[in-house]
Amino acid sequence: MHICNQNEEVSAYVDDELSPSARRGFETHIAQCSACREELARIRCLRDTLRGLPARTVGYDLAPTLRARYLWSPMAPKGRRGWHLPVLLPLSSALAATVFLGVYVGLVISTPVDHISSAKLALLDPVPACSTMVLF
Amino acid sequence: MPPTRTLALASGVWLSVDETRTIRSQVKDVRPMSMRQTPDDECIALCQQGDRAAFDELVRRYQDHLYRYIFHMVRSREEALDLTQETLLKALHGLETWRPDAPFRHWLFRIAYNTTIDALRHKGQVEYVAIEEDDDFPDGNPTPEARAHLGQRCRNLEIALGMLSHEHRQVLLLREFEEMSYREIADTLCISEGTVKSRIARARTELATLCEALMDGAHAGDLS
Repeated sequence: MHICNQNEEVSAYVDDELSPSARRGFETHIAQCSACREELARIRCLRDTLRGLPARTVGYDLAPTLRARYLWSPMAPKGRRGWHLPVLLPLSSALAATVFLGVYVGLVISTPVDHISSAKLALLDPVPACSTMVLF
Repeated sequence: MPPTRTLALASGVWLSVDETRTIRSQVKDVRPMSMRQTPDDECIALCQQGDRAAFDELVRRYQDHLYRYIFHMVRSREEALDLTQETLLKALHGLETWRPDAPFRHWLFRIAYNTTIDALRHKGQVEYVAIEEDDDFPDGNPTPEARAHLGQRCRNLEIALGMLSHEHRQVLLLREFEEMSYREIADTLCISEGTVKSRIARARTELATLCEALMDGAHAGDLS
């Protein structure tokens, strides 16, 4: 058990954080203090084992995930959203066209039949009508 | 009979652990060579102008450093992954407020520290996660007994690290894993250098004592 009250100096000495004069003083001290020498060896062994622990890594590249989250977050600067303009523009156009078509079809369906022109009704007819029917 | 812990490729070739590590290290770094040498402040300036490669470089440069620190603080892989992403996003959003006189790494770890402490406070009690048995502990020792002993020491160390208080653990992690000086740790955590010095000393003493106790407990278990 360490009985010399110089724990901080031992630790700082291991980290090379003592001033030159403090370092000289400490080196003079440990030449005579077995307790501090033991503590020094203990701290050095601990430090080596700590630094030899398995490296914890993410295991994959976070950049694509973060880029997507960054661009779509409300805090992203407006200019940054231009990175995806060539993709966003046709996508949003397609979405708008789909919504328009859906609204149009919905209106046609919901309108009473007698108010719908025959041309519009023909769009929804699965069996196209012939202008003349040849039975024989 | 193929050795344990090897990787079989599609071609049916068995690789040793060392060969696997070599291949992993070669495949992992996909950053353009020009970006790898770019200092942080230049990367940030490019990123602020919308340079995608600079954005990616900043993320790749720091993701593992942050993850390692956060993992040892929260002791959960999933949570560490979330908090790492949250830290990087906060930093990227706040790039415009970063001043070049403060080193980017310190600023980034300050965000990591704040984010992690908030998560720990929200969670309450810290949970200790057992270390996976197939972790890649350092080998190179000649005998299986020596390797098992080293593996046990490393496991005890990780457990003991999780038993330290947050204040002691964070200074020790920044010192041992990020090799920050006392001055840099003080700047990152906004505490005095004297506090850093005393906390690191106390953390080491406590850690060494806990490891010895765990090792003694393991030996007592072997004997019984």
